[in-house]
Amino acid sequence: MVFEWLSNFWHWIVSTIEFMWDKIPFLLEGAKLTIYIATMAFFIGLAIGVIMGILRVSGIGVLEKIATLYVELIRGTPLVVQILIVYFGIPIVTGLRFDPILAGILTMGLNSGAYQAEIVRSGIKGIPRGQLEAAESLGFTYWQSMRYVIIPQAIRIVIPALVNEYATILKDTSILIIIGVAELTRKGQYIAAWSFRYFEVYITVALIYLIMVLLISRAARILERKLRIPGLGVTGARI
Amino acid sequence: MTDPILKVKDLHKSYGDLHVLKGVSFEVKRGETVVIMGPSGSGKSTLLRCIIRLVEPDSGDIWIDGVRVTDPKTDLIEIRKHVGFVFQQFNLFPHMRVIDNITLALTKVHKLPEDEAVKRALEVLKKVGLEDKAYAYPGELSGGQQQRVAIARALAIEPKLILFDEPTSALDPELIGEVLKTMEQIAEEGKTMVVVTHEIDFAKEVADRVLFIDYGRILEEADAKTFFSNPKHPRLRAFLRRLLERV
Repeated sequence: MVFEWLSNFWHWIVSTIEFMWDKIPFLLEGAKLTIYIATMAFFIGLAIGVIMGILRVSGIGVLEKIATLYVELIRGTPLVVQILIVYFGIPIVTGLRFDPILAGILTMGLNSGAYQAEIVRSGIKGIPRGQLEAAESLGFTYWQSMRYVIIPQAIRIVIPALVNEYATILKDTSILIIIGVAELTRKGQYIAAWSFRYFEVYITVALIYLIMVLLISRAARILERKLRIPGLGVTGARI
Repeated sequence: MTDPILKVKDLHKSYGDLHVLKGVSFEVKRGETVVIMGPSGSGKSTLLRCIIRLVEPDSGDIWIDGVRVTDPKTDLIEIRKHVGFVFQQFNLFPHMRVIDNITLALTKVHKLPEDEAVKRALEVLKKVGLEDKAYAYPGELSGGQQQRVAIARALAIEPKLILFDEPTSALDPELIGEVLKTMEQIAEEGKTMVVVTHEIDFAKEVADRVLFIDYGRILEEADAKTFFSNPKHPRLRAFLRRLLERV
């Protein structure tokens, strides 16, 4: 009984591998596009995040309100809806048509910007007040203090959170399937649709995502070690 | 030049209902070392911060080298470029090596060329006896060494006046001595210093004058010898008694 079940399972595994083997390059092409979109979106998001994050703690009423509005607007609406608006909605109003990949990158970048703004803001808040005081006592303007003293420390503190955000974006690119971007999930869907082997195909797709995420967190640990500075970081300054 | 380098007149500051400074006035002459003592919460740190407007005073006036700091039109950067500030918690920038901690303001605020800034940084580090730590990170130094770097950073801008806010209060007892020695040496070179501290021996030996501040007012002001040997105000007497008991 048990033996029979094991034997069936083994056959299923073998046949799955046999079936999937030559489809892997096709899927990896999709994975490449997934990485490309996620990376572009991440850095657009980082740029927005740093600016918005600073504005949110700037103490300048108007700018703070604008940044807060941005963050709440983005975080309060579903990513899928945002993508539909950018890809289908905006062309109708403006006549400006994006190709699906560009629409995906822009939307996900704008979306991630709001989350990264919150990450950057928490990083800035985590820097002891004395740092800003010391910088200002030396004659730095508020913006110089931010640029040379606060932000470089804040970014180091939030590296784990940023990496986490990158992994999230990478996985979220799968919803670009709704506008037909040929990323990893879409490629899988294509194979599944003609072979009807939904289970095997999507398990393989899931595994590829998993491997990418694991590689990212491994790379992040190396980056963290590279950027590590004695006395700075999770353990806090030694006095 | 006998005019005061620092003049504070009728300074007031409140945090909400808490009236921290209730009309503080004093002067500091060029080359003088003035020590400010007082119980914690008496407004000493606030007073020092008001001098370079890290904290905005509510009313009153401050002049540094004849420039009215409290004038809203005064360029604060220009004031701060010439006043050093040493903090209780050192506040070195932990992501920068010691030398970069010092050169940063020299190149970005004082617009010195890089090589000149480095040269001056090494000079001041030598003065505080830490030139061999120039390329270490603050986190690799002891608290006493960090505070000496902070002093070097303040010295590097060649300030007209250096303000010390309890520079040894965050240090382990065995590290206090090296910092006080460095400060004494700076005082001997004729730098103008205003030092908030509880270190009686430092006040006795280095200070030209000592001020006692409590409840937001200066209650006594005397040369160091008279201050300790013949305190007049009852609150000062009680304060000194407590300090001496602690030792």
